[in-house]
Amino acid sequence: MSEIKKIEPKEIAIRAHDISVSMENASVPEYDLLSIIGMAVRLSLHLRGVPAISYDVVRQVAVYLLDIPSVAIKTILEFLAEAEFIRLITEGKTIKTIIPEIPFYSDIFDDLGTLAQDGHFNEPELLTLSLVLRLSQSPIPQDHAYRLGADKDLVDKVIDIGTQGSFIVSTRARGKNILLSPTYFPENNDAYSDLVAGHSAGRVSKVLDLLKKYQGWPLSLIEKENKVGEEPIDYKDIAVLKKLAGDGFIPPPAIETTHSGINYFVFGPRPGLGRIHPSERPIYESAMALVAAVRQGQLLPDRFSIKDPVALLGALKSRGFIKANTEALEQYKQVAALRVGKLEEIKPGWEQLTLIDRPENIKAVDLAIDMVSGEISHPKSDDEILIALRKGEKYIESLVGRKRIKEEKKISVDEATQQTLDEFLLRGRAGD
Amino acid sequence: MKDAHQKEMISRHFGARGWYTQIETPVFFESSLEAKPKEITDIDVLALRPGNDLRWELILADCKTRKGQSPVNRALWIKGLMDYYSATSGIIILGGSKNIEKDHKLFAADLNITILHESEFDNYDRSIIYPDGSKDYPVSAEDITGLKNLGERYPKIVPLLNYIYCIAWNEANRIEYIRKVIGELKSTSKEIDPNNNDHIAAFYEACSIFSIGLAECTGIVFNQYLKPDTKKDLDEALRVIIWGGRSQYEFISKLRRELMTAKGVKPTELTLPNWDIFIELSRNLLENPRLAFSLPYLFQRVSVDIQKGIDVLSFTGKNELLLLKFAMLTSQYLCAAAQLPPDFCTESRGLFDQKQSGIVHE
Repeated sequence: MSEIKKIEPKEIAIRAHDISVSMENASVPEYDLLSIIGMAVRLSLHLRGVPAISYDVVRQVAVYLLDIPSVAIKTILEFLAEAEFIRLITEGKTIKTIIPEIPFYSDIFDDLGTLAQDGHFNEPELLTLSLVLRLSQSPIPQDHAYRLGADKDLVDKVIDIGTQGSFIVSTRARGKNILLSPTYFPENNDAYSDLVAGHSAGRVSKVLDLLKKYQGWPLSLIEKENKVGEEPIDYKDIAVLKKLAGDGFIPPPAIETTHSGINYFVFGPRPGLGRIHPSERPIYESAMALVAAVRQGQLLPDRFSIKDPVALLGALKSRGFIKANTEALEQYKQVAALRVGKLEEIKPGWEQLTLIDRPENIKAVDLAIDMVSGEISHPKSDDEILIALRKGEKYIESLVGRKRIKEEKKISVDEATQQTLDEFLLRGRAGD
Repeated sequence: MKDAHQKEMISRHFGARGWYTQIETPVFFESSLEAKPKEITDIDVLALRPGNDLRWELILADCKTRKGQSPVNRALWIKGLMDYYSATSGIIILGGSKNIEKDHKLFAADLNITILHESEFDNYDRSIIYPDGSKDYPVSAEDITGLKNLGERYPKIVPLLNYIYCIAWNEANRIEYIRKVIGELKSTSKEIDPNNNDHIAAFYEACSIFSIGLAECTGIVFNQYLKPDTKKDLDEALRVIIWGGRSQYEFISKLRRELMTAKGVKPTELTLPNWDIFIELSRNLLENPRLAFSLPYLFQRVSVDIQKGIDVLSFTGKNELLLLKFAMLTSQYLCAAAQLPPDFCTESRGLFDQKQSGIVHE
């Protein structure tokens, strides 16, 4: 299978990490190098900037906090040492101390992915990487998975592993099986499945890619100009866009102005990975309202347009306000309603948006900046674990104490493999 | 030297407070008209301590044993030096008569100068370093002078030592230490013997001076940018700081480019040697910028321990693990940038590896 040659080293590391996180501590007999890379990425993200640490502490953190099986740790550390991300102080063959030297600016994913390319992935691993990469772009009908160039049985086996390992969700819509990545499409599963079942997966992927780049673009402008940003689209793409703004998805923010009426602003999948925590949802909604407001000023202004929305949002964060103008009242009404900022009349008809200084509002502005600038999120470290590692052994112990007993999950083998195994156990040899 | 015991008292006191200390530092006039600037006077003991806002604070000490010294005259003398060097405060230890006029003391205190009679020093020392004072602090003034006098036995490394103990302290800007220590060390690298403990001690003294500049640079970057998100941002900030401003950087860069072109060499970017490693080192220090200001002290302790042939850094424990990692990264960078012999770099790395691993398993 030559698909892997087409996957960028960085993508290999990111997808392997996604799979490893989704599977938690589940082990899959078919995955060898893939699991090692995924777990190595996860561990290295948490070791950056950390002082020297004993092997025992790393092992505890890995097993209890990062869901890395105990038996894999030595191999992972040796892989990271080969990448020159850590140095191992040994006594004979025993690893005693780890000195992390994870670079801050070199791309962890690229470096580890490049090193992984030198290794040998087996067929199930290659297929898994290709499939997960495809699913990161958009959900697909199951039929499309068979076009990746692998044997049908192998595809079914990987889908089975993926659903048991929680890195693939399989749903049914309009009589079709739809596959979806819960890492990249954690919400609105049924709505996305229905969208893919009703339109071509390639089209949905194209539209989602455009929306990741041009988050919060006004639907009316898209319909009028037949393009999103600078990219042309056709009426079928617009149908997909309208579906994304419709039932089942997060309702798009709307702004009503006297000069351009009611406008809806469409959004792609939320930046960031995994399901949004309920407490974070208002932050996401505030960020969408902010993006919609600056897009209104940028693309549908009355008299004065916003030239650089990222700079404007940056000023809101650093300065705490956006200078007064005559269009602010209509533009930022929803932002004020969500208590992100307040509108203050500076002189008759001129309103200034002042940021309400609360941590959740700062987060909303940061997220809005990421959305407007089209930032792509990469996997990040868990702050709690990172701080514990920097504080030292005592703090790690208290964190680990909460998760002491860890049960290792195994993903069951498929029917054919099970039969071969049973036969082997009964007959003492493999089938003829 | 009649005032040796006073220098001993004050240098131990500074050291016990974790400050980087130097003894008998010559003072030159930077813009001298002479071909070789002449020593004007010297500072008996000086110390660098980390300020609260990630800047260095310089402390000057003056020791006088002779009778008949006017305390206020000494205060005015040291105040002149403090102004010249932008020092934060001064301390004067006097011998002779125990009766120091109260007004002299008050006047001096108003200038941030403490005047003490040597008989009062023990009381002062025990109160500041409560309750034992600094008498058990293991580094003596003689230890520091011993490092300084290495040049008497190793004339080939005199230019490096001359920079560390004389020229550096007369630089207008401590950031200069970064470039110049690399340059001095590089030009001496062929003379450094990895098997000679005195040479190794001199290398760690060079690390001390280098890390004074590095800490200052770290403080400036942190105060301006916190932790730059991208390598490009930090790269740009460092170039501007290290070369004394954007226009200065561009001027030197242009001059260098033209020189290289004239020599038929393909021009390269003006950076420090091993620039990527330096950027990563700086980024590491930004994780805990305050700790960068403890590096010079730590390196000086390594030098003294190596020269005395005793257990290196025996005072460090779990709280110093990150500092030891920073020291390891700094010394490794300097080894590479100055192209020191590979076994020298390996030995240095091994020293910090073993120290860190030992502490982890204490």
